[in-house]
Amino acid sequence: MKNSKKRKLTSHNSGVVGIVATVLLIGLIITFVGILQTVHVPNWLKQKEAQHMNEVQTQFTQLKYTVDMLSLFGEPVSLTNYITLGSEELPILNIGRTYDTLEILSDNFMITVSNATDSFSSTTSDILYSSKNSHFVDQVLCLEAGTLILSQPPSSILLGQPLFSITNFTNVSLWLYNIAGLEGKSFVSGYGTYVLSNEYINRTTHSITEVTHINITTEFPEAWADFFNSSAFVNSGLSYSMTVGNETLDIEYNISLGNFIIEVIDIRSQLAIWKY
Amino acid sequence: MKKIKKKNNRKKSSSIAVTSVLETLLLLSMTVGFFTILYISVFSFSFSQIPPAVQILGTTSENLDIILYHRGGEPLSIDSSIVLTIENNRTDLILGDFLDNTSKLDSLWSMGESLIIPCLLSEDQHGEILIIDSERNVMVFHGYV
Repeated sequence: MKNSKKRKLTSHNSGVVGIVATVLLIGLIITFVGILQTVHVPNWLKQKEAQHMNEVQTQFTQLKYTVDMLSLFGEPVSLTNYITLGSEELPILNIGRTYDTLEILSDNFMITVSNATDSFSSTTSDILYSSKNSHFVDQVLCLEAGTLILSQPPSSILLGQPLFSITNFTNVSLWLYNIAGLEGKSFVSGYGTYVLSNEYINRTTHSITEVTHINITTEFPEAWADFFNSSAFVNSGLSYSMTVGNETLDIEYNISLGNFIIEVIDIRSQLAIWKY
Repeated sequence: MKKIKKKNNRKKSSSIAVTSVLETLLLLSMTVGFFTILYISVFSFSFSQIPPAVQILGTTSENLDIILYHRGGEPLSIDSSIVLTIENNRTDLILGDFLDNTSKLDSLWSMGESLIIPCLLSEDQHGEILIIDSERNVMVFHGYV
C-alpha cells in the first residue's frame, strides 16, 4: 500500500514540473521574440534602408556621369542606367520590404538670366527618385538641369554641380540639360532594379551679355545656392547678393558678368518598360 | 479497524491535494515574479547601441577653422559632444556651441548645416575628431583634419 502511494505522489510531481517547464519555456520564447521584434528588427531595418540610400546615391552619380558624357560627346546614342527601388526584406523574418518611386517630372526647373534690356529663360525637367522608408529618414535624389541634388525635406544639398566654366573671371558658360520624358514611360513605383535610358538629341547655344540678374525657380533653392556660392563663382571676384526663397533663388550681381553662355542639351529619357 | 483505516486514508489524500495546490500557487507566483523581474530588467536596458546613420564631412578652411558638414542621414542632438585631439591634447566640446543660431532652432544638427570650430589648429598640425551622440552614447564620426 505504502509503495503504491509513493509512486502516485512521484508521478504527480513530475507532471507539475513538466507544465512549469513548458510555461517557463513559452515565456522565454515570447520574451525573446518580443525583444527581437520591438528593438532589434527596427534597428536592422534602419541600417538596411540607410545602405539602400547609399546605393541609390551611387547609382545617381553614375546617371549624372552618363548624361555628362552624352552631352560632351554629342552623339545621338542611347545609354542605359540602372536605379534600384525599394530595399529588400529581412531574411527569415520576411519583413521590411519598401517600395520607392522614380519619375521624370516635366517643367520643374526654370532659369532666367537677364541684363538691363534683355533676358533669356529656359525650362527643364527633373529625374527624381523618392524613397518611402519605414525607419530611416526619407530622401529625394534629383538630377535637375545637370545638377545632382540630395534632399531631406525641407533641406537640400548639392551632390554634383552642372557642367560650367568661368574664363577671364566674368565669362560664364553653363550647360543645362533639358530632359524630356516619354509619355507613359516617365513614372515607376515599386521594388527592384529599373532601367533608365537616356538619349542625346540636340544642343543649342544661347548667349547674353552684361548679365546682372539670375533667377531660378526650383524645389531645391538651397542646393542651387550652394552651387552659386561655390568657390569657382566666389573666386571670380564678383560681388553679388543672393536671396533664397521657398522655391526661388535670386542672384543680383553688382558688376555685370561679361558674357553668359547657356548651352541647352536636349536629352530624351525613358523608364524602359519594354512590354508596351 | 477498517473504519479507522479509511479515515486515515481520507486525511492523507486531502493533505496531498492541499500540498499540490500550494505547490502550484507557489510555482505560479515564482514564475510571475521571475518574468516580471526579467521584463523590467530587459526592457529598461537600452538596446539602441547602433550608431545613427549619418554622413559627416570634415575639412579645414584657409584660416584653419575646422568645418564639419552634415551631408544627410539622421539629425544629431546639439548636446552631442565633439572630442578634438591635437598632439595628445584632448579638448571636449559641445556640438551646439558651434552651430549658427538658425540651425540651432530645432535643437538638432540636420542635413546641410555646418559646424565651424574656430582655429584651434596651427599650420602643419593635424587633429583627430570624434563625435559622440549624446542620446545613444555612441560614436558617429571619427576623422582627421
